[in-house]
Amino acid sequence: MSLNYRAVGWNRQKRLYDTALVTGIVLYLAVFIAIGLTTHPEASAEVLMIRGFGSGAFVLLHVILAIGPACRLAPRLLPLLYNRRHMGVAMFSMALVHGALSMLMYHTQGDLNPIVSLFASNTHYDDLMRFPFQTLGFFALVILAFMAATSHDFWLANLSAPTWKALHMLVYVAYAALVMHVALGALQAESSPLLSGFVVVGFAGLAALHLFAGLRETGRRDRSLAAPRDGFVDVIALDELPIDGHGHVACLSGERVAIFRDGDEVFALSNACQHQNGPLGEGRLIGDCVTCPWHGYEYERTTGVSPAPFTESVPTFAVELRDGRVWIDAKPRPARDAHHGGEA
Amino acid sequence: MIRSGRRRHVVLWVLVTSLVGYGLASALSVRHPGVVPGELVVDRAELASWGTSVRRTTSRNTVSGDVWDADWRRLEDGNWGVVLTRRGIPRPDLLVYWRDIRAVSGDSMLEGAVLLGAMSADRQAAFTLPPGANVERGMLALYSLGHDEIVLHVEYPVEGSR
Repeated sequence: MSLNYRAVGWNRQKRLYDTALVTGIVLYLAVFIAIGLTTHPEASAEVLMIRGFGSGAFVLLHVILAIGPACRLAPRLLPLLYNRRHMGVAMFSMALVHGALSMLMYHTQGDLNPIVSLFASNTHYDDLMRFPFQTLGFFALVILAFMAATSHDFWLANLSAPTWKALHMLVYVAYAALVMHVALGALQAESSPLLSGFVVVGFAGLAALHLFAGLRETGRRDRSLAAPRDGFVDVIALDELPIDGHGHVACLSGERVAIFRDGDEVFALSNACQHQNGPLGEGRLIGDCVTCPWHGYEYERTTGVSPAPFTESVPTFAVELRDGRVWIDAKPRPARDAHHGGEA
Repeated sequence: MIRSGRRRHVVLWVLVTSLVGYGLASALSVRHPGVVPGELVVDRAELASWGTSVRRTTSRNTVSGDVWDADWRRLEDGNWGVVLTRRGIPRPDLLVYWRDIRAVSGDSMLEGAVLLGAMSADRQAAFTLPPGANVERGMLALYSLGHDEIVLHVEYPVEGSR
Protein backbone atom coordinates (compact mmCIF):
# COMPACT_ATOMS: atom_id res chain seq x y z
CA MET A 1 0.00 0.00 0.00
CA SER A 2 1.55 3.31 -0.98
CA LEU A 3 0.53 6.94 -0.76
CA ASN A 4 2.90 8.59 -3.19
CA TYR A 5 3.75 7.44 -6.69
CA ARG A 6 7.14 5.88 -6.87
CA ALA A 7 8.60 3.77 -9.66
CA VAL A 8 8.33 0.74 -7.41
CA GLY A 9 7.30 0.79 -3.77
CA TRP A 10 9.78 -1.84 -2.72
CA ASN A 11 9.21 -4.04 0.27
CA ARG A 12 10.54 -7.41 1.36
CA GLN A 13 7.79 -9.37 -0.37
CA LYS A 14 8.37 -7.62 -3.68
CA ARG A 15 12.11 -8.20 -3.46
CA LEU A 16 11.58 -11.89 -2.76
CA TYR A 17 8.99 -12.15 -5.53
CA ASP A 18 11.17 -10.43 -8.10
CA THR A 19 14.26 -12.37 -7.08
CA ALA A 20 12.39 -15.63 -7.59
CA LEU A 21 10.98 -14.34 -10.89
CA VAL A 22 14.34 -13.25 -12.32
CA THR A 23 16.01 -16.45 -11.09
CA GLY A 24 13.32 -18.51 -12.79
CA ILE A 25 13.72 -16.62 -16.06
CA VAL A 26 17.52 -16.92 -16.04
CA LEU A 27 17.29 -20.64 -15.22
CA TYR A 28 14.77 -21.20 -18.02
CA LEU A 29 16.95 -19.43 -20.57
CA ALA A 30 20.05 -21.30 -19.41
CA VAL A 31 18.34 -24.69 -19.60
CA PHE A 32 16.74 -23.86 -22.96
CA ILE A 33 20.04 -22.76 -24.51
CA ALA A 34 21.92 -25.72 -23.01
CA ILE A 35 19.38 -28.20 -24.43
CA GLY A 36 19.35 -26.32 -27.73
CA LEU A 37 23.14 -26.47 -28.03
CA THR A 38 23.09 -30.17 -27.20
CA THR A 39 20.33 -31.24 -29.57
CA HIS A 40 21.09 -28.70 -32.32
CA PRO A 41 24.83 -27.94 -32.17
CA GLU A 42 24.55 -26.20 -35.52
CA ALA A 43 22.11 -23.63 -34.16
CA SER A 44 23.33 -20.05 -34.14
CA ALA A 45 23.30 -17.97 -30.96
CA GLU A 46 20.70 -15.62 -32.47
CA VAL A 47 18.25 -18.42 -33.22
CA LEU A 48 18.63 -19.92 -29.76
CA MET A 49 18.07 -16.55 -28.11
CA ILE A 50 15.07 -15.75 -30.29
CA ARG A 51 13.50 -19.09 -29.44
CA GLY A 52 14.50 -18.99 -25.79
CA PHE A 53 13.09 -15.53 -25.09
CA GLY A 54 10.00 -16.17 -27.24
CA SER A 55 9.11 -19.48 -25.64
CA GLY A 56 9.91 -18.11 -22.18
CA ALA A 57 7.53 -15.17 -22.66
CA PHE A 58 4.83 -17.53 -23.96
CA VAL A 59 5.17 -19.83 -20.96
CA LEU A 60 5.19 -16.88 -18.56
CA LEU A 61 2.00 -15.50 -20.16
CA HIS A 62 0.29 -18.83 -19.45
CA VAL A 63 1.42 -18.62 -15.83
CA ILE A 64 0.14 -15.05 -15.52
CA LEU A 65 -3.26 -15.95 -16.97
CA ALA A 66 -3.49 -19.01 -14.74
CA ILE A 67 -2.80 -17.16 -11.48
CA GLY A 68 -6.21 -15.43 -11.32
CA PRO A 69 -8.45 -18.50 -11.57
CA ALA A 70 -5.98 -20.63 -9.62
CA CYS A 71 -6.23 -18.20 -6.68
CA ARG A 72 -10.03 -18.45 -6.80
CA LEU A 73 -9.73 -22.20 -6.49
CA ALA A 74 -6.82 -22.32 -4.04
CA PRO A 75 -6.44 -19.17 -1.86
CA ARG A 76 -3.05 -20.40 -0.67
CA LEU A 77 -1.73 -19.29 -4.07
CA LEU A 78 -2.64 -15.65 -3.37
CA PRO A 79 1.01 -14.65 -2.76
CA LEU A 80 1.55 -15.29 -6.48
CA LEU A 81 -1.05 -12.67 -7.31
CA TYR A 82 0.50 -10.05 -5.03
CA ASN A 83 3.07 -8.86 -7.55
CA ARG A 84 1.63 -10.24 -10.78
CA ARG A 85 2.18 -6.94 -12.55
CA HIS A 86 5.95 -7.35 -12.20
CA MET A 87 5.55 -10.77 -13.80
CA GLY A 88 3.64 -9.11 -16.64
CA VAL A 89 6.36 -6.53 -17.19
CA ALA A 90 9.01 -9.28 -17.11
CA MET A 91 7.01 -11.24 -19.69
CA PHE A 92 6.74 -8.16 -21.90
CA SER A 93 10.50 -7.58 -21.60
CA MET A 94 11.20 -11.14 -22.77
CA ALA A 95 8.76 -10.75 -25.65
CA LEU A 96 10.41 -7.45 -26.57
CA VAL A 97 13.85 -9.08 -26.75
CA HIS A 98 12.37 -11.86 -28.89
CA GLY A 99 10.73 -9.32 -31.21
CA ALA A 100 13.78 -7.07 -31.43
CA LEU A 101 16.13 -9.96 -32.23
CA SER A 102 13.69 -11.31 -34.83
CA MET A 103 13.40 -7.91 -36.50
CA LEU A 104 17.18 -7.53 -36.42
CA MET A 105 17.77 -10.94 -37.96
CA TYR A 106 15.01 -11.08 -40.54
CA HIS A 107 14.07 -7.52 -41.43
CA THR A 108 17.13 -5.31 -41.25
CA GLN A 109 19.21 -6.72 -44.07
CA GLY A 110 17.30 -5.20 -46.95
CA ASP A 111 16.56 -1.72 -48.26
CA LEU A 112 13.14 -1.51 -46.64
CA ASN A 113 12.37 0.00 -43.28
CA PRO A 114 12.20 -3.03 -40.92
CA ILE A 115 8.60 -2.24 -39.92
CA VAL A 116 7.59 -1.92 -43.59
CA SER A 117 9.47 -5.12 -44.32
CA LEU A 118 7.55 -6.88 -41.56
CA PHE A 119 4.24 -6.09 -43.22
CA ALA A 120 5.35 -6.18 -46.86
CA SER A 121 7.55 -9.25 -47.04
CA ASN A 122 4.67 -11.68 -46.68
CA THR A 123 1.13 -10.74 -47.66
CA HIS A 124 -0.45 -14.18 -47.86
CA TYR A 125 -3.25 -13.29 -45.49
CA ASP A 126 -5.59 -15.56 -47.44
CA ASP A 127 -3.42 -18.64 -47.01
CA LEU A 128 -3.32 -20.30 -43.59
CA MET A 129 -0.21 -22.30 -44.47
CA ARG A 130 1.81 -19.24 -45.43
CA PHE A 131 0.07 -16.75 -43.18
CA PRO A 132 2.32 -13.84 -42.11
CA PHE A 133 2.50 -14.96 -38.50
CA GLN A 134 5.06 -12.32 -37.56
CA THR A 135 2.46 -9.58 -37.82
CA LEU A 136 0.37 -11.39 -35.18
CA GLY A 137 3.34 -11.32 -32.85
CA PHE A 138 3.88 -7.64 -33.60
CA PHE A 139 0.28 -6.72 -32.72
CA ALA A 140 0.47 -8.77 -29.52
CA LEU A 141 3.70 -6.97 -28.60
CA VAL A 142 2.01 -3.58 -29.11
CA ILE A 143 -0.81 -4.60 -26.73
CA LEU A 144 1.65 -5.93 -24.17
CA ALA A 145 3.66 -2.69 -24.42
CA PHE A 146 0.51 -0.68 -23.71
CA MET A 147 -0.29 -2.86 -20.74
CA ALA A 148 3.25 -2.70 -19.35
CA ALA A 149 3.29 1.08 -19.73
CA THR A 150 -0.01 1.45 -17.84
CA SER A 151 0.71 -1.16 -15.19
CA HIS A 152 1.77 1.37 -12.56
CA ASP A 153 -0.54 2.43 -9.70
CA PHE A 154 -0.54 5.95 -11.17
CA TRP A 155 -2.65 4.73 -14.08
CA LEU A 156 -4.70 2.44 -11.89
CA ALA A 157 -5.68 5.32 -9.61
CA ASN A 158 -6.30 7.86 -12.35
CA LEU A 159 -8.19 5.58 -14.73
CA SER A 160 -10.16 3.97 -11.83
CA ALA A 161 -9.93 0.27 -11.16
CA PRO A 162 -12.91 -0.80 -13.36
CA THR A 163 -11.61 1.13 -16.40
CA TRP A 164 -8.05 -0.06 -15.83
CA LYS A 165 -9.19 -3.66 -15.51
CA ALA A 166 -11.36 -3.37 -18.62
CA LEU A 167 -8.38 -2.05 -20.61
CA HIS A 168 -6.14 -4.77 -19.26
CA MET A 169 -8.54 -7.44 -20.50
CA LEU A 170 -6.77 -6.76 -23.79
CA VAL A 171 -4.33 -9.37 -22.51
CA TYR A 172 -6.77 -11.97 -23.83
CA VAL A 173 -6.58 -10.44 -27.31
CA ALA A 174 -2.79 -10.51 -27.03
CA TYR A 175 -2.93 -14.13 -25.89
CA ALA A 176 -5.11 -15.11 -28.85
CA ALA A 177 -2.71 -13.37 -31.25
CA LEU A 178 0.28 -15.08 -29.62
CA VAL A 179 -1.21 -18.57 -29.78
CA MET A 180 -1.85 -18.07 -33.49
CA HIS A 181 1.62 -16.51 -33.89
CA VAL A 182 3.12 -19.73 -32.53
CA ALA A 183 0.69 -22.06 -34.31
CA LEU A 184 1.18 -20.46 -37.71
CA GLY A 185 4.88 -19.85 -37.18
CA ALA A 186 7.03 -22.20 -35.13
CA LEU A 187 4.60 -25.13 -35.26
CA GLN A 188 4.42 -25.06 -39.05
CA ALA A 189 8.07 -25.95 -39.50
CA GLU A 190 8.34 -28.25 -36.50
CA SER A 191 8.24 -31.94 -37.29
CA SER A 192 8.11 -33.13 -33.68
CA PRO A 193 4.60 -33.30 -32.16
CA LEU A 194 6.06 -32.28 -28.79
CA LEU A 195 5.84 -28.54 -29.35
CA SER A 196 2.30 -28.76 -30.75
CA GLY A 197 1.36 -30.88 -27.75
CA PHE A 198 2.70 -28.24 -25.32
CA VAL A 199 0.74 -25.47 -27.03
CA VAL A 200 -2.50 -27.47 -27.13
CA VAL A 201 -2.16 -28.59 -23.50
CA GLY A 202 -1.32 -25.04 -22.40
CA PHE A 203 -4.33 -23.56 -24.16
CA ALA A 204 -6.74 -26.32 -23.09
CA GLY A 205 -5.48 -26.21 -19.50
CA LEU A 206 -5.89 -22.45 -19.29
CA ALA A 207 -9.38 -22.60 -20.80
CA ALA A 208 -10.45 -25.36 -18.40
CA LEU A 209 -8.99 -23.53 -15.39
CA HIS A 210 -10.92 -20.34 -16.22
CA LEU A 211 -14.11 -22.27 -16.95
CA PHE A 212 -13.93 -24.27 -13.72
CA ALA A 213 -13.13 -21.22 -11.57
CA GLY A 214 -15.89 -19.20 -13.27
CA LEU A 215 -18.55 -21.87 -12.82
CA ARG A 216 -17.63 -22.43 -9.20
CA GLU A 217 -17.56 -18.71 -8.51
CA THR A 218 -20.98 -18.09 -10.04
CA GLY A 219 -22.61 -20.93 -8.18
CA ARG A 220 -21.09 -19.99 -4.86
CA ARG A 221 -21.33 -16.24 -4.75
CA ASP A 222 -24.15 -14.94 -6.89
CA ARG A 223 -27.16 -16.79 -5.52
CA SER A 224 -30.15 -14.45 -5.33
CA LEU A 225 -31.26 -13.55 -1.83
CA ALA A 226 -34.87 -13.05 -0.79
CA ALA A 227 -36.51 -9.77 -1.74
CA PRO A 228 -35.80 -6.98 0.76
CA ARG A 229 -38.21 -6.18 3.57
CA ASP A 230 -38.10 -2.57 4.77
CA GLY A 231 -35.03 -2.19 2.62
CA PHE A 232 -33.20 -4.88 4.59
CA VAL A 233 -32.35 -8.37 3.33
CA ASP A 234 -32.07 -11.51 5.44
CA VAL A 235 -28.52 -12.63 4.58
CA ILE A 236 -27.31 -15.29 6.99
CA ALA A 237 -27.62 -16.63 10.53
CA LEU A 238 -25.20 -14.94 12.92
CA ASP A 239 -23.84 -18.31 13.99
CA GLU A 240 -22.86 -19.13 10.44
CA LEU A 241 -20.51 -16.15 10.15
CA PRO A 242 -16.85 -16.98 10.78
CA ILE A 243 -15.49 -15.67 14.06
CA ASP A 244 -11.82 -16.03 13.20
CA GLY A 245 -11.57 -12.83 11.15
CA HIS A 246 -12.52 -14.39 7.84
CA GLY A 247 -15.44 -12.90 5.94
CA HIS A 248 -18.58 -14.00 4.18
CA VAL A 249 -19.66 -12.79 0.74
CA ALA A 250 -23.28 -12.24 -0.24
CA CYS A 251 -24.93 -10.71 -3.28
CA LEU A 252 -27.13 -7.64 -2.65
CA SER A 253 -28.47 -5.07 -5.11
CA GLY A 254 -26.64 -6.80 -7.91
CA GLU A 255 -23.24 -6.42 -6.25
CA ARG A 256 -21.26 -8.41 -3.74
CA VAL A 257 -20.98 -7.44 -0.10
CA ALA A 258 -18.24 -8.48 2.30
CA ILE A 259 -19.54 -9.32 5.78
CA PHE A 260 -17.35 -9.69 8.86
CA ARG A 261 -18.11 -10.61 12.46
CA ASP A 262 -16.31 -9.51 15.58
CA GLY A 263 -18.04 -11.08 18.61
CA ASP A 264 -21.65 -10.01 18.36
CA GLU A 265 -20.90 -7.12 16.03
CA VAL A 266 -21.31 -7.49 12.27
CA PHE A 267 -19.94 -5.19 9.59
CA ALA A 268 -20.70 -5.04 5.89
CA LEU A 269 -18.64 -3.34 3.18
CA SER A 270 -18.53 -3.39 -0.59
CA ASN A 271 -16.63 -6.47 -1.67
CA ALA A 272 -14.55 -4.55 -4.25
CA CYS A 273 -11.26 -3.10 -3.05
CA GLN A 274 -10.61 0.37 -4.49
CA HIS A 275 -7.12 -0.58 -5.58
CA GLN A 276 -7.69 -3.39 -8.08
CA ASN A 277 -11.23 -4.46 -7.17
CA GLY A 278 -9.82 -7.34 -5.17
CA PRO A 279 -12.33 -9.42 -3.13
CA LEU A 280 -12.39 -7.86 0.35
CA GLY A 281 -14.68 -10.63 1.58
CA GLU A 282 -11.86 -13.09 1.06
CA GLY A 283 -9.55 -10.97 3.19
CA ARG A 284 -9.29 -10.78 6.97
CA LEU A 285 -10.61 -8.54 9.70
CA ILE A 286 -7.44 -7.52 11.50
CA GLY A 287 -7.99 -5.16 14.42
CA ASP A 288 -10.39 -2.49 13.24
CA CYS A 289 -9.59 -2.92 9.56
CA VAL A 290 -10.61 -5.26 6.77
CA THR A 291 -7.52 -6.19 4.78
CA CYS A 292 -7.67 -7.00 1.06
CA PRO A 293 -6.13 -10.40 0.27
CA TRP A 294 -4.53 -9.19 -2.94
CA HIS A 295 -2.28 -6.30 -1.95
CA GLY A 296 -3.04 -5.59 1.70
CA TYR A 297 -5.13 -2.43 1.27
CA GLU A 298 -7.00 -1.72 4.52
CA TYR A 299 -10.44 -0.26 5.26
CA GLU A 300 -11.85 0.69 8.67
CA ARG A 301 -14.65 -1.77 9.35
CA THR A 302 -17.40 0.71 10.23
CA THR A 303 -16.59 3.64 7.93
CA GLY A 304 -14.97 1.85 4.98
CA VAL A 305 -12.19 4.46 5.02
CA SER A 306 -8.50 3.59 4.81
CA PRO A 307 -6.47 4.61 7.84
CA ALA A 308 -4.51 7.86 7.49
CA PRO A 309 -2.53 8.87 5.54
CA PHE A 310 -4.19 6.72 2.89
CA THR A 311 -7.26 8.03 1.13
CA GLU A 312 -9.12 5.04 -0.33
CA SER A 313 -12.65 4.28 0.83
CA VAL A 314 -15.39 1.79 -0.02
CA PRO A 315 -19.18 1.92 0.49
CA THR A 316 -20.55 0.33 3.65
CA PHE A 317 -23.94 -1.18 4.49
CA ALA A 318 -26.21 -0.79 7.53
CA VAL A 319 -26.53 -4.04 9.49
CA GLU A 320 -29.25 -5.19 11.92
CA LEU A 321 -29.43 -8.38 13.97
CA ARG A 322 -32.95 -9.82 14.16
CA ASP A 323 -33.69 -13.08 15.94
CA GLY A 324 -30.18 -14.38 15.55
CA ARG A 325 -30.01 -13.53 11.86
CA VAL A 326 -28.05 -10.86 10.01
CA TRP A 327 -30.11 -8.35 8.02
CA ILE A 328 -28.34 -5.92 5.72
CA ASP A 329 -29.67 -2.77 4.07
CA ALA A 330 -29.71 -3.44 0.33
CA LYS A 331 -28.89 0.21 -0.33
CA PRO A 332 -25.21 0.98 0.28
CA ARG A 333 -24.01 4.02 2.13
CA PRO A 334 -21.80 5.94 -0.32
CA ALA A 335 -18.07 5.76 0.13
CA ARG A 336 -16.87 8.54 2.41
CA ASP A 337 -14.42 11.24 1.55
CA ALA A 338 -11.54 9.87 3.58
CA HIS A 339 -10.75 11.78 6.78
CA HIS A 340 -13.14 14.60 5.99
CA GLY A 341 -16.31 12.85 7.02
CA GLY A 342 -18.32 13.70 3.89
CA GLU A 343 -19.28 11.47 1.02
CA ALA A 344 -16.78 10.97 -1.74
CA MET B 1 -20.13 -2.17 -11.92
CA ILE B 2 -18.02 -5.06 -10.72
CA ARG B 3 -20.53 -7.64 -11.90
CA SER B 4 -20.71 -5.94 -15.30
CA GLY B 5 -16.93 -6.15 -15.48
CA ARG B 6 -17.15 -9.81 -14.60
CA ARG B 7 -19.72 -10.42 -17.34
CA ARG B 8 -17.45 -8.63 -19.82
CA HIS B 9 -14.63 -10.87 -18.66
CA VAL B 10 -16.74 -13.99 -19.25
CA VAL B 11 -17.89 -12.88 -22.72
CA LEU B 12 -14.33 -11.99 -23.76
CA TRP B 13 -12.94 -15.26 -22.46
CA VAL B 14 -15.60 -17.34 -24.24
CA LEU B 15 -14.92 -15.45 -27.48
CA VAL B 16 -11.15 -15.84 -27.19
CA THR B 17 -11.38 -19.50 -26.26
CA SER B 18 -13.67 -20.27 -29.20
CA LEU B 19 -11.63 -18.31 -31.73
CA VAL B 20 -8.25 -19.58 -30.53
CA GLY B 21 -9.54 -23.15 -30.35
CA TYR B 22 -10.78 -22.96 -33.92
CA GLY B 23 -7.66 -21.16 -35.13
CA LEU B 24 -5.31 -23.58 -33.39
CA ALA B 25 -7.11 -26.60 -34.83
CA SER B 26 -7.05 -25.04 -38.30
CA ALA B 27 -3.36 -24.19 -38.05
CA LEU B 28 -2.47 -27.71 -36.93
CA SER B 29 -4.58 -29.25 -39.68
CA VAL B 30 -2.57 -27.47 -42.39
CA ARG B 31 0.71 -28.09 -40.62
CA HIS B 32 3.41 -29.20 -43.01
CA PRO B 33 6.31 -30.76 -41.20
CA GLY B 34 7.41 -32.37 -44.42
CA VAL B 35 7.54 -30.91 -47.90
CA VAL B 36 6.39 -27.33 -48.33
CA PRO B 37 5.49 -25.73 -51.59
CA GLY B 38 6.76 -22.23 -52.20
CA GLU B 39 6.01 -19.82 -54.98
CA LEU B 40 8.76 -21.19 -57.18
CA VAL B 41 8.32 -24.73 -55.97
CA VAL B 42 6.23 -27.64 -57.17
CA ASP B 43 3.06 -28.51 -55.33
CA ARG B 44 3.52 -30.92 -52.45
CA ALA B 45 0.84 -33.28 -53.68
CA GLU B 46 2.63 -33.60 -57.01
CA LEU B 47 6.08 -34.11 -55.57
CA ALA B 48 6.03 -37.92 -55.56
CA SER B 49 5.36 -38.03 -59.26
CA TRP B 50 7.50 -35.01 -60.06
CA GLY B 51 10.05 -36.25 -62.61
CA THR B 52 12.34 -39.23 -62.16
CA SER B 53 14.88 -39.45 -59.37
CA VAL B 54 18.37 -39.79 -60.86
CA ARG B 55 20.78 -39.26 -57.96
CA ARG B 56 20.64 -38.55 -54.26
CA THR B 57 23.49 -36.65 -52.68
CA THR B 58 24.36 -35.32 -49.25
CA SER B 59 26.32 -32.11 -48.79
CA ARG B 60 27.68 -30.78 -45.55
CA ASN B 61 29.56 -27.78 -44.28
CA THR B 62 31.79 -29.10 -41.54
CA VAL B 63 32.31 -25.63 -40.09
CA SER B 64 28.73 -24.44 -39.83
CA GLY B 65 27.27 -27.91 -39.43
CA ASP B 66 24.73 -27.46 -42.24
CA VAL B 67 23.76 -30.78 -43.79
CA TRP B 68 21.48 -31.01 -46.81
CA ASP B 69 20.18 -33.91 -48.88
CA ALA B 70 19.49 -33.32 -52.55
CA ASP B 71 17.33 -35.52 -54.75
CA TRP B 72 18.20 -34.68 -58.36
CA ARG B 73 15.37 -35.38 -60.76
CA ARG B 74 15.00 -35.39 -64.50
CA LEU B 75 11.69 -33.78 -65.40
CA GLU B 76 9.34 -34.75 -68.22
CA ASP B 77 10.26 -31.68 -70.28
CA GLY B 78 13.93 -32.70 -70.16
CA ASN B 79 14.93 -30.07 -67.61
CA TRP B 80 16.28 -30.77 -64.14
CA GLY B 81 14.69 -30.38 -60.76
CA VAL B 82 16.02 -30.87 -57.27
CA VAL B 83 14.34 -31.62 -53.95
CA LEU B 84 16.33 -30.17 -51.05
CA THR B 85 15.90 -31.54 -47.54
CA ARG B 86 17.57 -29.93 -44.58
CA ARG B 87 18.68 -31.71 -41.44
CA GLY B 88 18.78 -30.08 -38.03
CA ILE B 89 17.22 -26.76 -37.18
CA PRO B 90 15.93 -24.56 -39.98
CA ARG B 91 17.75 -21.54 -41.28
CA PRO B 92 14.90 -19.11 -41.80
CA ASP B 93 16.49 -16.87 -44.39
CA LEU B 94 17.98 -19.11 -47.06
CA LEU B 95 17.82 -18.25 -50.74
CA VAL B 96 18.60 -20.96 -53.27
CA TYR B 97 20.62 -19.93 -56.35
CA TRP B 98 21.77 -21.84 -59.40
CA ARG B 99 25.16 -21.04 -60.85
CA ASP B 100 26.08 -22.44 -64.25
CA ILE B 101 29.80 -22.58 -63.63
CA ARG B 102 31.53 -24.41 -60.80
CA ALA B 103 34.63 -23.46 -58.84
CA VAL B 104 33.83 -19.79 -58.47
CA SER B 105 35.51 -17.95 -55.66
CA GLY B 106 33.51 -16.75 -52.65
CA ASP B 107 32.68 -13.12 -53.29
CA SER B 108 31.75 -13.47 -56.91
CA MET B 109 29.74 -16.62 -56.30
CA LEU B 110 26.36 -15.04 -56.84
CA GLU B 111 27.31 -12.99 -59.89
CA GLY B 112 25.22 -14.25 -62.77
CA ALA B 113 23.52 -16.78 -60.53
CA VAL B 114 19.82 -17.47 -60.97
CA LEU B 115 17.56 -17.21 -57.96
CA LEU B 116 15.45 -20.37 -57.73
CA GLY B 117 13.50 -19.52 -54.59
CA ALA B 118 13.57 -19.27 -50.84
CA MET B 119 13.74 -22.09 -48.32
CA SER B 120 12.51 -19.90 -45.45
CA ALA B 121 12.16 -22.16 -42.40
CA ASP B 122 10.88 -25.16 -44.31
CA ARG B 123 12.33 -28.60 -43.96
CA GLN B 124 12.02 -29.57 -47.59
CA ALA B 125 11.29 -27.84 -50.87
CA ALA B 126 11.65 -28.53 -54.57
CA PHE B 127 13.10 -26.26 -57.21
CA THR B 128 13.20 -26.37 -60.98
CA LEU B 129 16.60 -25.58 -62.45
CA PRO B 130 16.76 -23.06 -65.31
CA PRO B 131 15.97 -24.58 -68.76
CA GLY B 132 19.05 -26.11 -70.29
CA ALA B 133 20.99 -26.17 -67.03
CA ASN B 134 23.81 -28.73 -67.03
CA VAL B 135 23.89 -30.29 -63.57
CA GLU B 136 27.45 -31.53 -64.03
CA ARG B 137 28.73 -28.03 -64.73
CA GLY B 138 26.80 -25.90 -62.29
CA MET B 139 25.85 -26.02 -58.65
CA LEU B 140 23.34 -24.82 -56.13
CA ALA B 141 24.30 -22.12 -53.66
CA LEU B 142 22.43 -21.83 -50.39
CA TYR B 143 22.77 -18.20 -49.40
CA SER B 144 21.91 -16.80 -45.96
CA LEU B 145 20.47 -13.35 -46.37
CA GLY B 146 20.79 -12.58 -42.68
CA HIS B 147 24.44 -13.51 -42.45
CA ASP B 148 25.26 -12.46 -46.01
CA GLU B 149 27.15 -15.64 -46.71
CA ILE B 150 26.87 -18.81 -48.70
CA VAL B 151 26.35 -21.53 -46.14
CA LEU B 152 26.66 -24.45 -48.54
CA HIS B 153 27.32 -25.47 -52.13
CA VAL B 154 25.32 -28.43 -53.39
CA GLU B 155 26.77 -30.16 -56.43
CA TYR B 156 25.63 -32.98 -58.63
CA PRO B 157 28.43 -35.58 -58.71
CA VAL B 158 30.23 -35.78 -62.01
CA GLU B 159 30.22 -39.33 -63.38
CA GLY B 160 33.28 -41.28 -62.27
CA SER B 161 34.31 -38.68 -59.72
CA ARG B 162 32.75 -40.50 -56.76
